[in-house]
Amino acid sequence: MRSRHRTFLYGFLIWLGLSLAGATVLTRAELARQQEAFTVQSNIAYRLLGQRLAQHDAILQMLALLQPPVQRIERLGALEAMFPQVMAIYREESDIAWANPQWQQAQLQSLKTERAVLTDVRLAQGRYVLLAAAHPASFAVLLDLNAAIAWDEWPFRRNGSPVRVVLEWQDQQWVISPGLDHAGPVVFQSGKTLASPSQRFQLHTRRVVSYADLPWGQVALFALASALLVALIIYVRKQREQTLRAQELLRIGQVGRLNSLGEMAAGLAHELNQPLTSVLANTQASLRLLQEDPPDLEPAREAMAHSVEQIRRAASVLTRLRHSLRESGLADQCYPLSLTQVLEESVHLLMPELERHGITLEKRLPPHDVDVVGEPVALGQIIHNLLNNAVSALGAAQISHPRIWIEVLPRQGRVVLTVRDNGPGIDPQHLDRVFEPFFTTRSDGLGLGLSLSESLAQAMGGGLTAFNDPMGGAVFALELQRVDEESS
Amino acid sequence: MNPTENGPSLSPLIHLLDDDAAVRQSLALLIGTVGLRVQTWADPQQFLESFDRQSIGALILDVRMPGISGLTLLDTLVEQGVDQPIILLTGHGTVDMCRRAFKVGAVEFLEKPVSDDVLLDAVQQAVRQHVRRRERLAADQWARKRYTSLSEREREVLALIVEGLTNKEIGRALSLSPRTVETHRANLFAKLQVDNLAHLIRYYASLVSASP
Repeated sequence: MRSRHRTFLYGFLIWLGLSLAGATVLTRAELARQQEAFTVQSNIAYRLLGQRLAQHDAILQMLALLQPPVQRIERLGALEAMFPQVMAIYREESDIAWANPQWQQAQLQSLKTERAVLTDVRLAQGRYVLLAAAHPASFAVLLDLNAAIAWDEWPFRRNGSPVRVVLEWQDQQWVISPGLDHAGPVVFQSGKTLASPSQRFQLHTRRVVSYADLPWGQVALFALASALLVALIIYVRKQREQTLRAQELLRIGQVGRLNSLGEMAAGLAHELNQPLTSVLANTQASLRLLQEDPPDLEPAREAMAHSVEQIRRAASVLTRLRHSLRESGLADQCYPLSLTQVLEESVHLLMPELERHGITLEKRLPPHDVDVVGEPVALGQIIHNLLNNAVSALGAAQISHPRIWIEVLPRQGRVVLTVRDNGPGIDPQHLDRVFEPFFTTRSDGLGLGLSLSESLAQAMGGGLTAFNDPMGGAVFALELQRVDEESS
Repeated sequence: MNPTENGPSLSPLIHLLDDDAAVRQSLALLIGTVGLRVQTWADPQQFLESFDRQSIGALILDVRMPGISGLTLLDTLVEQGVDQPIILLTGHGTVDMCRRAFKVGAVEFLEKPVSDDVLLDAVQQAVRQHVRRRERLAADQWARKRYTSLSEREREVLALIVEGLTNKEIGRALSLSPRTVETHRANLFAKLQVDNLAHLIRYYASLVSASP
């Protein structure tokens, strides 16, 4: 259970790391996108305003050049219609001073610099006067910037735009759009002096990126996706781990059984060897005693009696062994279980091996589960051994299209599971020896796998037989007791 | 002269150690058919404590015994300087076990069940080997004892005789007259109880070269 907690902790940490990294990348990309947009919009605003101011210079130049008389200024309504920001036009003979001393000062400055001069600036209202000294008369226009901005071309919305746009001149400023006054982690801003030499206003734009502007939706989506990914990885790893564990269990069981079989064989050898030694020595001593002249009968008779006793002892060792095998208790551990399920598990465990050898596996199973009497680990071992045997037979013979067929045939009260391969089959000479302990044709085999499988099958009340298919290949048939639907 | 007269003159005795009573009985009977006496032992510890180390014969040990293995027992016996040849018997011998046994000094390594010819051959050969070994030991001791009875001059003369010098040459080497040398030579043969040069060399060549 501890390892499970650890898995979840690791999974959570990996997910956290992934999500943080994803959030950073997404936020950065979004901020870069917004900054790009801000810069482009600011530049557009700068250009649009610059064009307008250039128009103002052009209007004054035109007036100075055309020198329309005062009376005709009324008729300049067409001009005002074309340039709605022009609110009024003023004319004054150049040898007469302007009534407004500010204007007069601008007149002098304009004379000196020979270009239009700003005066009477009330930028808070967006209004100012542009005055140009000329001969015979000087002209001034009253301009209203509110009308100068063509809102359909303007990149920022007039109300509710998140960008604050301000025009500044000396200590005066005109707020074009107030922007949103909120706090935020990032601020974009830009400030530029407009290109007009007469109207040297500064355009300031500023945008505060609020937390609400960050790409929360994308981040959440990414976090969800990485959570799914991490969960998937954990799931796949767990599946693989379980497969490995199942394989290991099967292997340990097999090794354990083989070990105990080997130990039993060693013990058996010792227990039989002692009486055999005694019988041989006694018999040979008797022979020697009988060959003497005259034969020494009494000790020879005694030796023969000892031999008989020792032969009985050897026989009792074998009887004891048979009893202990019968009482090994596998029969008590048997219960009804699904053969189909055990079969599927065994096949699943050997799938990598089959794929490695390029073996095609064909299963012919009844559509419904078949229940048999058995012990799941032992049954799994038998099936595993049979499949493994087929795999090595096919591998050793280097068949070009190796195949294994598994068939489950329910009979009355019995089920027969056959494993057939298209290998070379079993040498007919060996056919009746394949279940003998320690009989093997493989150089790396112990010769106990099939013998053990047969013992296990018999202990479960079934049996295991081997034969060659008339079409070629070896067939192993495992017969088991079936649990009928009616009886269970 | 008889070099064995001081050693144990008992007839050979085979010590057989096996924890299985049937094996003890049958092997003892078999060995008995060739006229050898057998003493059987069931317990290695008791065997170690009480078997007669002076007896002439051989030891037969089972490798697999409760308490102490035949190989360990073999080690102990060799360490204690037991000179009886040792035959090991085993039910399931491995090449490794066999190699180890021979390395330590076993004379035979037999597998159970063992055929009579093989066992009896091995036992008889071991007994012969032990008798020879004991004889050689006794002869050595006997010769050494005689040698100590020689005078300094007689030992010098003996050393030169063994080297193959004639009386004349010995006289020249030791600044003696050939006649004196001849006297020493006669005394020396008498004291050592040998009657010809071949005997003398057989028993004393090694002693002469070993003495300062």
